[in-house]
Amino acid sequence: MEVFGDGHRLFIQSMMSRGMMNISEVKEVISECGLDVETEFKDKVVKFVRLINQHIGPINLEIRKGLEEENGQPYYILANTAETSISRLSSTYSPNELELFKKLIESIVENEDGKIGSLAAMNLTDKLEKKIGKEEAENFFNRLEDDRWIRKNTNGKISLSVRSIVELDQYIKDVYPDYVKFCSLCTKLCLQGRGCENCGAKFHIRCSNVFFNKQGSNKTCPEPNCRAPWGQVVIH
Amino acid sequence: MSLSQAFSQSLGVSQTQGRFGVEISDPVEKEKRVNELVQYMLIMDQKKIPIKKRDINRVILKGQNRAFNGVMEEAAEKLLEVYGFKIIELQDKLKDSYILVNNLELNESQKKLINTNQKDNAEMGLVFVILGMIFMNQNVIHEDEMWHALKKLGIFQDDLHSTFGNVKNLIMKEFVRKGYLRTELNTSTDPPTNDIYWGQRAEHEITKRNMLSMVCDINETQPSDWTYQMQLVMQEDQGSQQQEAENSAVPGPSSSSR
Ligand SMILES: [Zn+2]
Ligand SMILES: [Zn+2]
Repeated sequence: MEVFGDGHRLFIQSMMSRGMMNISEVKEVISECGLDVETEFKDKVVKFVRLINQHIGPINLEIRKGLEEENGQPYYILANTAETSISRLSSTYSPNELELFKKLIESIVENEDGKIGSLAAMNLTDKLEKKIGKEEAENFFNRLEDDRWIRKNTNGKISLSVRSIVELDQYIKDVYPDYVKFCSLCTKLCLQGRGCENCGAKFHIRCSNVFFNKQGSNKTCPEPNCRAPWGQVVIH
Repeated sequence: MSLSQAFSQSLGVSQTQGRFGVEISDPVEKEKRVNELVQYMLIMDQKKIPIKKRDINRVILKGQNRAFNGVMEEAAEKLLEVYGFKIIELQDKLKDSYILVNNLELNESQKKLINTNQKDNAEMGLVFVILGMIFMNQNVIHEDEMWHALKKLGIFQDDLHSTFGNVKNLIMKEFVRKGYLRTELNTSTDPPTNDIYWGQRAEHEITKRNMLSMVCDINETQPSDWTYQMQLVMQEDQGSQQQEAENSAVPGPSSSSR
């Protein structure tokens, strides 16, 4: 039996400071927490995180594993399990900034490709009741990127990072039930992915890559009720 | 002395006062309030602004003020056991407010794991420089002396700084509000100026020993060159030894006591 100790406390503090970590960061932190990461790392992480989750559960926190939609990279995220997760952000951002963040989420969710251009993002400020200047909005988007809530790709397009997807999962499902799509393969929320032109089903890039690799040369839509031939890969 | 009694004492709650407090009778309800308080303290502490008892009563206890001691005691225990933070009740002008202080003894590379915000780290660097000045100047510095010294670092009181922005507001308002610095208006000068001291958060977060060795590293001197400061370090060591002796005299849960 693993005993809860200072290593776990340090990991929690580090997680509260960072919000999310990739696998190599987890490895670095866990080894600073006094665990030998050279052997049976995966197994040790699972046990370590499970014990922490038992302790932080009472205040609606949970460390969860999630995949970045764009590249399929795994991350560990400190998520709030209470329904009011967006309100937890209120200590970090002002009410008006949160309104802008909500508008940003809205337009990303409503866009079929799960992204929004930087100019379109700037124009969201016009929809706010209390105005935010363009420069202020740009600073705010930079902060969201620094805090790893959003990602900007090389074309300047903004998407939600795995941190948002994991933390705001329930919020997005509750507020935009008509827009959200779920990956037919892993059944999780899917904002960025591939779509089937025949049935309209959506899949994560990573999930569908795994599926198509197994299929070999005769690729069909992964959706069981469709199975239409998958001609060229359509990326929406 | 039991662990919970130790907490009561550190929170300034005497046993007689405790007896007059009213516990929340439903254990489930009490547990809920305790967890909410733990969460509230962790969130509010991110801004490093002392948490007011008044706000806890309003937001968490919703007016059941007499349950404060009981709920606070259990929240303090959880913050220490699960999160490694000690609750400190502030004194004097900051009475009836609380801060969280890290109870883990961290080496430099471990500290980097929990301080990942670059802007915060830059500000902490500035706090350390000012605290160092105050300490080496025998615990107090006049405001104009401080600004004079900061000029050498390219920090001017009336200029916007590229990293710190309105640096005068940051030092004289924000650092004071966060409890790193304490100012006192000195009316013996004309016009009156501020004297700047270590704030209560600094006293709890930073040891004099670390501060002295850091200052000595920077200007390549030996701690023993600084007689007055060494005396303060010794006093601090004696104080913590005394506390340790008191703590270790009681058998009980030892995972949290150091
Ligand atoms: Zn999927
Ligand atoms: Zn299909």
